[in-house]
Amino acid sequence: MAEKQNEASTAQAEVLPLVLGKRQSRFKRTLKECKRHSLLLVMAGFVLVWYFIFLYGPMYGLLMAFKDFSFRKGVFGSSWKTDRHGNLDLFANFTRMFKDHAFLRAFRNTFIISGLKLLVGFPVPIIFALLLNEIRNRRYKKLVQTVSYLPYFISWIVLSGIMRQILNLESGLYGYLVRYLGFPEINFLTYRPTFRGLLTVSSIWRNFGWSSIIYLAALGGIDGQLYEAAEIDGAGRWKKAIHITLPGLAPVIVIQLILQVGTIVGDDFNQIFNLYSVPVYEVADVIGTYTYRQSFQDSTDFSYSTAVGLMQNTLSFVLIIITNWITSKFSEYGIW
Amino acid sequence: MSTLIKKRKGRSYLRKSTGENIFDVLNYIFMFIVLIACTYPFWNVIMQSLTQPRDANKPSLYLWVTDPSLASYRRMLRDADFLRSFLVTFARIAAAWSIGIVMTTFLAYALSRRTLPFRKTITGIVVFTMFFNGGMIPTYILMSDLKLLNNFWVLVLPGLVSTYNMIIMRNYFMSLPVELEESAYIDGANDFTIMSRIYVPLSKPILATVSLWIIVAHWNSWFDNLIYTPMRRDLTGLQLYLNQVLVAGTINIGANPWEYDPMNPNLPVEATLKATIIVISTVPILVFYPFLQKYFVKGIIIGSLKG
Repeated sequence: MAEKQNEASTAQAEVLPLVLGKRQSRFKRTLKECKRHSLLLVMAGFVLVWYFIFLYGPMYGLLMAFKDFSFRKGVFGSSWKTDRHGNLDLFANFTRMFKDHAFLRAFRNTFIISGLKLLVGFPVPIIFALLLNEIRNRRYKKLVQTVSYLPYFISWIVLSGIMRQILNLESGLYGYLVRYLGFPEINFLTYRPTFRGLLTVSSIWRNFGWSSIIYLAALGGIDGQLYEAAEIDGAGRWKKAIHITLPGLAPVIVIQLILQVGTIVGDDFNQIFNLYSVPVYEVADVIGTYTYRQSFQDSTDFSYSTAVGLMQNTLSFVLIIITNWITSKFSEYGIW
Repeated sequence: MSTLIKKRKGRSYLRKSTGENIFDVLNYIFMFIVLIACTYPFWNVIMQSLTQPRDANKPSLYLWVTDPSLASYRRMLRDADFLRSFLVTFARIAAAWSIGIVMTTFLAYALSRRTLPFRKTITGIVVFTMFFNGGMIPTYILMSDLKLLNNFWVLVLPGLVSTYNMIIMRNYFMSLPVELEESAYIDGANDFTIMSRIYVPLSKPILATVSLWIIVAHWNSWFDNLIYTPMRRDLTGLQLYLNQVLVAGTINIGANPWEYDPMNPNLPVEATLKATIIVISTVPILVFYPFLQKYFVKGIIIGSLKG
């Protein structure tokens, strides 16, 4: 066998150009690797089938965005979108979207709420990590850290339940503050002026401990010799924080910031859906909750909801690609 | 560390500046506030769940309950809907974990082998799904086309593999020495044996991490339950049940009237019952929390190394 193969390849090498010969040997190598790793390929293939069915499978449904979907006819059987006069108008759903007051409101709210969370919430885990790092008592430090990411493991449904219990004016903790300490009698869950604040604060409360892990890990990775050298030079705590700790954290901070900007079109559906109600739609309805209501509550216009979802997905895809590209630039060239 | 060592009269002693002392004290106090802020809401609900029915509608700080009542616990632990929702959640966790962990390991191991043919193509296909998906409605239509709506397996099949979990597991496999594979291969072992006999036993920490991610994800999931199984009340999982009781208000727990009834002083009141189901459904997380957090932290650090 081996001899025959050798003969064949030398014969080809004489006749065919060098490039083709190389390509063929690569093909042969791949074939050999496939044989050797056939089991691996079967294992990966088995999981890939799942990926194709459940993650690529839904993508044919995106056609609905351009069609008049009806359940009876299915995705492929439904007719393409037309305007009033029966002319083909594939983007009718998209033009409708940008004329729809409720959609525009959801679009605006998504950016405002994500922006608020980013603006207020981003520095919190960094400050927390820096301060926690200054605690010398190891057991206390460990205790605070462990407790700080407890809320992260609790679902938004339960957290919403807890918030409702606490903010209840009849029986809750806030009711106590209202009755005996003269706090304003406000039901925060339906109070428009502070609702976005409530979303921001509760989201920070749930996530800050978890987000701080990566900063604490980075702090642990800073070379202790730098601190010793600075001490010998007479640097105090403050100077060390400014000149050693912060520069040491900077790459992580930059990467985290860029990654979070990439998710700004996404909304925290679980949080908002479990906290909002009709009186605060004006300030809290976001694309996710709007799409949900358009398809399962207020109407069943699947074509339109698909179009909204497609728009949001595409936008966030583009943003994530851009921010990932920037991040990789940073991690390549960022030396500090 | 930052203490200044000064020598005075031949004696050396540690000394901190007044500013640093004040900072330290404030910092300890601040961390104490953080501690309270993260635990008090849970404490508050636990105390509320233990209140006597007659006190339930009086606002309180719930720092402590002097005469605890277990009436609402007795009531909820006999509630068929509540208990069944636990069973549904346990069932989906068991199914999703046992199948999901095998699939995640298969793909992660295969992609961790640098000699795997088409490695880049497969990685590309898999990673793309992290950035782009069909969205809520197209996925719903697919489930409908696959005749999975109102079926238990719709809670399990769509979420079997998380690409993020797969990648942190792959990174872990890649960090193990490749010589293990080479020598076993020379001894005649095939890829499956090498994976299951050599790499998997060495990867217990990451398997624990990924298992816990899967379990917590399924413990907390509810939206699939809401939209995919609307006709099957018996498939209502714990979180959807909580959503219906606490948020949507579509399930009423307990007998009417909600208000305290002096004729029936042991009948629990709505606020107490709600606090009780919050506590019961959070207990499993709190019990496993010390264990959870250890592996989760490991996971996030491993994941961020190459992710």
